[in-house]
Amino acid sequence: MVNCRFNKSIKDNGGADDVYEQAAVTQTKELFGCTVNDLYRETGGKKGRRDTLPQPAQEAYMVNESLAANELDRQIGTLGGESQDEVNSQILASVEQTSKQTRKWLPW
Amino acid sequence: MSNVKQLFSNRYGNPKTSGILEPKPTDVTMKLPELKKRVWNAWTRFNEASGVVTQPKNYVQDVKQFGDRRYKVTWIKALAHFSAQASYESCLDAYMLVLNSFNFTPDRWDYEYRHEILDAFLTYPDGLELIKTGLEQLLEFTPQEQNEAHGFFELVEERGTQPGRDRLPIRVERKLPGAYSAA
Repeated sequence: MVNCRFNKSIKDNGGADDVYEQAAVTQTKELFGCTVNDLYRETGGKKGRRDTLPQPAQEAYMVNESLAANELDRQIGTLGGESQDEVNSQILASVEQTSKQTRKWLPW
Repeated sequence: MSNVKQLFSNRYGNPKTSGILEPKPTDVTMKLPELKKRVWNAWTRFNEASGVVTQPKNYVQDVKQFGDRRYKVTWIKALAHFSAQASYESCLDAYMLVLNSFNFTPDRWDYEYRHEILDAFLTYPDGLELIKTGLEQLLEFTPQEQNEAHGFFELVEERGTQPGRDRLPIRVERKLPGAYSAA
């Protein structure tokens, strides 16, 4: 499962606590320009179940999480900080960067 | 005299009804400056998750809705609600509520306030439904992955024994990791 691999890559970089929630927010903002709740609401999906989102949206997450995981895996050992918040921030910056790149390939 | 009692009760909580500020031998009590920092972080996360531009001028008003800011109990309520709201707003996959958001383990900074955070989440009309969805999704995971949510399962079990808190109407049936290898 792509999302599980993505989460594992975050964990392997020292990510913890709310970084997973924030990664979902960052990805959604960059890929779709809205919040998670808005995406579910406006597409008629059932909140908390990404399999109920339109196929293109599911694919966008899948591609992005796969690429973001690759990039995070490449960065293992290079992302650090003096606090958990700093480590999380660096991970989120990486996810944001990948998401911006992915967005360029999306048709919307 | 009654005013003094009232103030004391507000400030330190009523041990008979809340017990929230009573030091417990196994709990580490977060100091107020640290708690306030955590509330600010939770508030900014909530703003970001709900697509709202963080405007510091709104912060005081948002915290005030939970009571008098001179009392620690107000900050605890604010932390619980902002954290729960951030989890709700950023819930892309319901199973992450069980595997991450509410998977409280003693090494987490928010372990001390785990019950308050879950209480706040359950105030959403579909909060419980989302948790149920998350548990259904978790059934698709391997037994090892399911067991990673042990902090959540313990939270649910603990909750059932707490006065003033309803047992969650969910039944968690977990298979032991070894159960599969025997099959």
